[in-house]
Parts: sequence; C-alpha cells; structure tokens
Amino acid sequence: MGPSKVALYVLFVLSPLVVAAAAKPFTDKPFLYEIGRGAALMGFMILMLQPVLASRFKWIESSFGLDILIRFHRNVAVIGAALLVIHPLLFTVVHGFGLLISLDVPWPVYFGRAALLILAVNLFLGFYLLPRGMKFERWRIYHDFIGPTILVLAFIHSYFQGHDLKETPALRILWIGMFGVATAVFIYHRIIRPRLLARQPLQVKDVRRETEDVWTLQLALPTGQLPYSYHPGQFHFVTLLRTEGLPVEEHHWTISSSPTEKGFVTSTIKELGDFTATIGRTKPGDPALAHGPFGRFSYTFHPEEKDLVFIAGGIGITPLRSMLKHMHDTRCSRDVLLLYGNVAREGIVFYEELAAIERGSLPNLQVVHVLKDPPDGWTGETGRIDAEMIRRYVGAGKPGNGYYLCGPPGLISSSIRILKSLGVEDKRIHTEIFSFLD
Amino acid sequence: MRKIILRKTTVLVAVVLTLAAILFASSRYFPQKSQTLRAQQQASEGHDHSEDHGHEENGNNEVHRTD
Repeated sequence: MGPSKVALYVLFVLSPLVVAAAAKPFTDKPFLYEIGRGAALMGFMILMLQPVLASRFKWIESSFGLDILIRFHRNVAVIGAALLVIHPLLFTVVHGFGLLISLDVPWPVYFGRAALLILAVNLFLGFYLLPRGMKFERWRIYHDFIGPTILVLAFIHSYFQGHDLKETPALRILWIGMFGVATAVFIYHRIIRPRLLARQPLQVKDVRRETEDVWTLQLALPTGQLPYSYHPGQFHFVTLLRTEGLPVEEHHWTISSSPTEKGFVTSTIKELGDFTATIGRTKPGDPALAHGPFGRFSYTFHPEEKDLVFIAGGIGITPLRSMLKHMHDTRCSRDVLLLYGNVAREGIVFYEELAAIERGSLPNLQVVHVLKDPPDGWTGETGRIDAEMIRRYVGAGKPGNGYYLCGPPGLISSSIRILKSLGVEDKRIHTEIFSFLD
Repeated sequence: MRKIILRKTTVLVAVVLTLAAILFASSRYFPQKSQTLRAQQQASEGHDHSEDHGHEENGNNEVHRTD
C-alpha cells in the first residue's frame, strides 16, 4: 500500500502540469520560463498537500508510521520551497530582475513575495532553531499560524497572477478545490478533532513511580472501555488537563501497556523536560485527551519473523515492555533476546516485571542488563551495548529473525551498523524514532 | 530501514518532479519552436525559391543574354 500512496501523492502534485499542458500545448515564452511555470504549479500543489500529510489521518499513516510521515512532510517542504523559489528566478529571463525587487509590479506579486519570505522563516524555524533547542510547543504555535498564512498568500498570488490559471478554467477549479481541501483539513485537525476528543475524555486512574525519574500514567474511560484498540509497541498523543495551573500540552508517548491488559492504557514517561518534570504531580481523576494509536513499531506487523532480538536503552524499553507483555499473555512461543542498557541499577525500568516474564515459559525470554555504572557485586554486563557485546549475544544474523531497536539515537545508529555487519537484512531491523525532529 | 526508504522516496520524488518540470516545458516549448522553425524554413524556402527563381531568371536572362 505504501508505494501506491506515494504514487498517488506524486500524481496529485503533477496533475496541474497535465491540465495546463492539455489546455495550452504551445508557448511563446523561453524554455526556462516554462520550467519556472511548471515549478510554480507543482510547488503550489505540494503546499496544499502539506496539511493532509501532517494531520495524522489513519489511512495514510497506517502504511508508513507517523514518524516517517511527518519526516516526509518535512522533506517535501524543502522540495516545495525549492520549486517555489526557482519559479520567480526563472521568470526573470523574460521579466528581468525587476520582478524580484521592483516596486512597480502587479499587486498579486507582492503576495507571492510575502509567501516566499514567510516560507523561508518557516524553514528557518523548523530546520535551524528547532533542532537547536527552540521549545517544540512554541514552534508548533508559530507553525500553526505560519503554515496557513503561506497557503493563503500562495493561493491569492497564483490565482490572480498565474497565466495558466487565467486561461484555464479547469486549473482554476483545481486550485479552488485544493485550497478548500487544505483549509478543511487544517480546521479539522486543529479545531474540530480536539473538540471531538474532548467529548470523550479519559481519566487518569493511577500515577505510579517506576524509578526516581520515570512515571507510569494509567488512563481509562470512566466506562472502563478504551476509545481505540492498538498494537503492542504503538504510541498515542496525550493531553493532560490537570488542575493546579500545570501546563496543558499535547505530547506523544509510547503505550507501555499491552492490548491484553483490558480496560486501561498506560504510558511510561521519563522526566526529560519542563513538562515531563511535572508528570509526578498528575493526580488520579485528572481528565486527559488521547489520540491514537500510531506507529508501525510492533512485532505483530511482522508475523513472518521467527525469533526476535530487542535492543533498548533507558526509557526506550517502553514499547518493548508492551510487546513482551503481549507475547507473555498470548503464549507466544518465540525466542526473544533483550539487551537492555542503563546507567545504573536504580534506573532500570520494569526490572521485576522483565524478570517475571523471563522466569515464565513463554516467550522464551533472555534479558541481558548492561550497566554503565554497576553497583558492587553486579555480575551482569557492564559498559555500553557495543559491537563486541551484540556479536557475542546475537551471533551471526539469522535470516528471518526480527530486530527491534529503541533508545537514544547513538545506540540505535551504532546497533544498526553492527547488525548490518552481521548480515542482518535492512527490512528486518525496526526502529522507533522518538523525536519527530532529528 | 524505514528511514532509508524515506530518504530514497524523497530523492525519487524530487527527481520525478524535476523531470516533470522539464517535460512540461519541453512539451510546450519545442512544438512551438519546431513550428517557428518550420515557418522560418517555409519562409526561407519561399525566399530561396524566389532566389532560385531569380537565379533562373537571371540565368535565363544570362542565357538569353548569352543567347
């Protein structure tokens, strides 16, 4: 399904070229000018499809995983920006550089200039400031304002200035349709859906401390039902509506419970930032909104895989705990090796539970704890999960086995490199990318 | 794995769109150009014809004159 959805996306982007070329097969303009026209038409379509990519539609997300879809949204933003920047530059072959700098231009050109300027600001925020520590929630507020502004400016500019649109009614209909779709999707995603979710709020049932800085929130509907079913290893977006003036922000967290645990859903959260530092102050009874599930990081999506190797670092254990609990409850007969790295013994999340599953008969689980700062008397592995350790435990990469990695980016990238050197196929290595930013 | 596919897909989309822009421009520009060339050629042929005719005439004249 994935490739056909990508093909559909490309067809949408190319559609105005087909309409324009059919309506007006000849030109009296230079070749480069026509490339500029083509770039403008495709750039507009990319802009209008951006809200569709980012609005968490299950039909689209289910083929790729939301983390990949959001990254695609970011990547095509760059392609779209390049096309939109190229078009006025190529138009200078006819209109001269006055098109770029002159004040004596038709009024829609000002809208185009403004759209490009704000698009540049948007890219600067997303690709420069955000990875350098800009607060995600602040960026998101800017993005929610900047994104629609660009779409409106681009629509006005192209509708009133584009020669192909002036001469081709079918193109004008396409333009109005795409702008309408983009607007409707944005309004649904940012205004209507949150209100629909608010009609069916969950409640915090329990707040449990797992380690010094890790908490598990248990959420459920008052009826004891869940608003959605999920696969072990998936994640959801949660908005905690707490009292005491605590911040109200939407965050995406892995679902650490298993679908076999009925009537509730849990997320296990590490205190990593300003917001998550307040998780421990959440009270049972606090309402919460949840939107999900999302993600493709689950062994249930790969029934063809035989035995499994899990590699986790720190809080990266959460989706793996969900999968192990699911395997345990469904009497899954696979062999599972878990390499789990932490700094100290006190930082190991789900230590007792993992030990209990390991003691049980199914799945045939072997847990290998790796500690950077082991306590006295520690007999397990020490240091980091490195090449030598992975080779020692995993051996030669067996065809058909599945490898699931979750943790800090450094651990994931080094593990992928090592597994590939052991002959593991790319398609058998599964990763969950916590952040949508890297 | 998924990141690699994403990277390849992004590159593929960029390549397809670039080729599409070139194809779009070509489909409009080159028929026009070939039409212009054809018109120029026809005009040129017409001119040549008249020149040939002139030559013939001149030739004839010359011939006549020679004659």
